[in-house]
Amino acid sequence: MIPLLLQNAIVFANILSLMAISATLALSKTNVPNFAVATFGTIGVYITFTCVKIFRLPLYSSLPFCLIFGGLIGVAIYRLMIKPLRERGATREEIMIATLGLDIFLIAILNIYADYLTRAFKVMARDFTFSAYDFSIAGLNGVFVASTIFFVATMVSLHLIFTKTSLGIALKAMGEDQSLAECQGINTDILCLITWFIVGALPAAAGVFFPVNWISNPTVSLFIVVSVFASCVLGGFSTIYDAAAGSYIIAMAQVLLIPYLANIVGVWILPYGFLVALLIMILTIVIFPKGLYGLPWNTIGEFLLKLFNYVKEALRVKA
Amino acid sequence: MLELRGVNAGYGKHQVLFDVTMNLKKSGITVIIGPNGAGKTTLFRTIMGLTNIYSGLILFNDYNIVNLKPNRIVKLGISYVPQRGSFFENLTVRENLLLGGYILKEEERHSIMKEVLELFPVLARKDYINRKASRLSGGERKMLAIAMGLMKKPRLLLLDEPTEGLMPKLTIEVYKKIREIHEEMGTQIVMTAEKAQLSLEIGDEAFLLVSGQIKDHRTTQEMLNDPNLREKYFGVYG
Repeated sequence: MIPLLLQNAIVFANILSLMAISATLALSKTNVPNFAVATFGTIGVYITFTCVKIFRLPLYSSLPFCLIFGGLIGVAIYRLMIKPLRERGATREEIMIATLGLDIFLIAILNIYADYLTRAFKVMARDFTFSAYDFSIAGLNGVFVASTIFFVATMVSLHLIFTKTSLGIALKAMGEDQSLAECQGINTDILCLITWFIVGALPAAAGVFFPVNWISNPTVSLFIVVSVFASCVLGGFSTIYDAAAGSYIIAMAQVLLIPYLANIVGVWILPYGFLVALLIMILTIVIFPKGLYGLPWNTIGEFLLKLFNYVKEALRVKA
Repeated sequence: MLELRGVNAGYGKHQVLFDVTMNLKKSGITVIIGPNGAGKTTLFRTIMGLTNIYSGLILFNDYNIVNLKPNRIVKLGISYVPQRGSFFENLTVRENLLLGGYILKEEERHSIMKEVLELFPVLARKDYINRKASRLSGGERKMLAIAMGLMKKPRLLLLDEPTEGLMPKLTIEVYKKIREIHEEMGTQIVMTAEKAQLSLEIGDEAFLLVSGQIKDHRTTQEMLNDPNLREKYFGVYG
């Protein structure tokens, strides 16, 4: 039996991972720091809300709709915003500011949509949860099982795409040098579209799981975005594996550490959970700015092996 | 095969090439020589659609390739090996070669790779083929870059300073390899060279590019025998 708090931490880690992988892909493959990534998740939340509350579909059947609509929104953003800005010679920083503007625009649209749902369908489209729609299996929450299966399936699929297909190798090449990739005959425009489909689809899919455990509204992304970027920075903004590892560390620290601290210092600390993520992000930037990806893993491995052998030998001598 | 007519090109508002007109015939090795900053790299980047072309025509087999994207130009049969950053450092030698043949079908890609590796046996070694390209030495890097260019089965291969930064012995080896590629595969080759003596020795015709303008066009032998050119452009080997 897995304790409920740990299940919640893993669900949060899965949600953060999907968003952090999206942000990492956007930056490492298409050179776009996407500050709207968490709001892509909120879009998923409202696609799920529409499926469940308006069309009366089962909770997890909204997953394919989130993947498809989220992906199409990602493609539309690339075609209508990123590509035209690039063609006008916009720098990476200018595009980053544009994604901040996009974030505000999308939050406004979601607010309008929530108001529309409330008025037209007489449903509460703000501050809702879907915990009542979840199932449980062998003492495990449905959202824990579903989000973990989806996260593992996503990681395996992306791993196979990046390592076993020529599309994956081409994506790696595009991430390293776009104009050289074009000179190999690679149509980088199509690869950017594929990347942005994934960039839109993954956070939207995370939006299916979020409202099961946490209260949701159109501005909920503002509270998640810090944790998402902390995960990316800790991962090193480089590979999907580091992004997922960073997300798990941030989620565990945020969900498990804060309740523990609340027992010691009082419950007033509970709303400040995002400060843990912020602190880890600052420490990462100061101490190892390249994140987990940039750590000398070979040296660390050798050191740990030596330490292990030393301890083993010391114990043997003592015995 | 490749013809440039009155090409004016550059980067943004900064013009680098001025009224460049040249006709590269359908055989042999063409060498483009000129001092540092003459516009040799820009000339190749212009052919590949990587600069702003203000006016002029670039015809490849009588087809205008101005304003085509680089991936379309590659599919027409032009392969470009840049002077620097000519391969992907984080990929293995095998992945780089497979990317070089990205436009080919799966089976064809593997058979071409076999042919290309016969030309560059050092890259085919088991300990090299799965090695990250960033771990190759200078000479091996140049070989990989040229091998990637050949993976496309190009009709025209553009080599930008293929021996830049190499020791004299390696330079001779690379030039021999280029001649061998031309003779065995029949690929037409155009290459640039700052230190011109050795490149002219293996080439057939040559253009002299100075300050973004074509100043001379003759056979390589005629250029080699010109004392004025020897003094000005043939560098350490002259």
